[in-house]
Amino acid sequence: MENLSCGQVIALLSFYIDEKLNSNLMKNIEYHLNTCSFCRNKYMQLRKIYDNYADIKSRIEEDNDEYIVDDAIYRNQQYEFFKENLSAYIDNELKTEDNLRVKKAAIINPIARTELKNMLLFQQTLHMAFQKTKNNLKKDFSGGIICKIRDSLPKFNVNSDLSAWDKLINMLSNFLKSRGIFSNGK
Amino acid sequence: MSSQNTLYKNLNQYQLVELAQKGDLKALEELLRNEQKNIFATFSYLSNKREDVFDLTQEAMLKVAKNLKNLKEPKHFKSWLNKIVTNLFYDELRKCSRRPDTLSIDDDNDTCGAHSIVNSIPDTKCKPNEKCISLELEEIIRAEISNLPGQFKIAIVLRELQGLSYEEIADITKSSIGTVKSRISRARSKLQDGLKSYI
Repeated sequence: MENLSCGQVIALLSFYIDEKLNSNLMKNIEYHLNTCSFCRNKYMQLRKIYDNYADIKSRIEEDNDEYIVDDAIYRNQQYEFFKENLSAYIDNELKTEDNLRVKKAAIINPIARTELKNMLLFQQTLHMAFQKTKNNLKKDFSGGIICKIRDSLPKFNVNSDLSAWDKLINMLSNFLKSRGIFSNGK
Repeated sequence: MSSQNTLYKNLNQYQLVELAQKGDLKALEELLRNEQKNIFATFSYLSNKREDVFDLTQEAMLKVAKNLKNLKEPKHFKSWLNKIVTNLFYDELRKCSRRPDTLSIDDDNDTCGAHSIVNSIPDTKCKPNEKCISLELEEIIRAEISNLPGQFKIAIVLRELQGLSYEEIADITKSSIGTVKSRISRARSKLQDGLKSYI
């Protein structure tokens, strides 16, 4: 049997607790702990911390299991209906009775409630993004478009009081008159 | 002149449409000015190619200006406008499927919106609530939406950006209300999944 120094044993303690060492080394450390009170105290302290940790860990896992069981209760037919119609619900596109069913689910069922909240938050974010995109347009095209269609319209006397369509009709009838197709009743 | 301009600014959309239909070019100009940001944003979310958005926006505005007199009910203007926008987008899709994909030399696709000179000039009109959303998030949302399958993104953009009813969307996309409902619902869950880590 090899004699280990206290420093070596303390360095290997956490591996010893996890039983990650070969059997020979495990035996050597055990022997040392039986003979050295200093190292035994260190070992007891560390052991306690590990045990507490393991205890807390198992309790959290238990809680999670319970949570999953609770979760399953809410994933019922009502929830399925809610899920199917949530999108149309926020668009106000459901019939009155379906609207009420979705609203009821959102009140009773905590999972449904969270999903409704998330959906509304998502919608709000979309709308903010849309607003931002709209303001990305820094140019004004409207004047240019008007110029384009004005060019395609016949030219008129600007000072005249007649509206554009009246002018167009006048021009047309003048044109027809000049060709003798349309006479003004004379 | 300026008092006349304020007069047009105070008119609502319905009044502007009616005047414009009677041939009032000033009313038409004001109407187009009011709608251009909206049209631009719609194409920004529909089209995958940033550099096409400006062309499409102007094309749509020209179509509106030329065909406004054919609109029978001024109160259906919004729905009619979106029909024009959607049809232009369909045409674009068809064109794209025929010609090979090209990349613009002027701006690379992903960063041009965020880093062009125009965007680095501060916008004094920016309202506080718009500052809440970062430029990156807006870009990410834009990319997520424009990557949705064609019919899904048309439905979600017409609904969320344009605020059209399911019935109006069904009419524009020539589909049933049930189809629109499921497309919007599926588009939303896809987007929510994609944006999970950001919201």
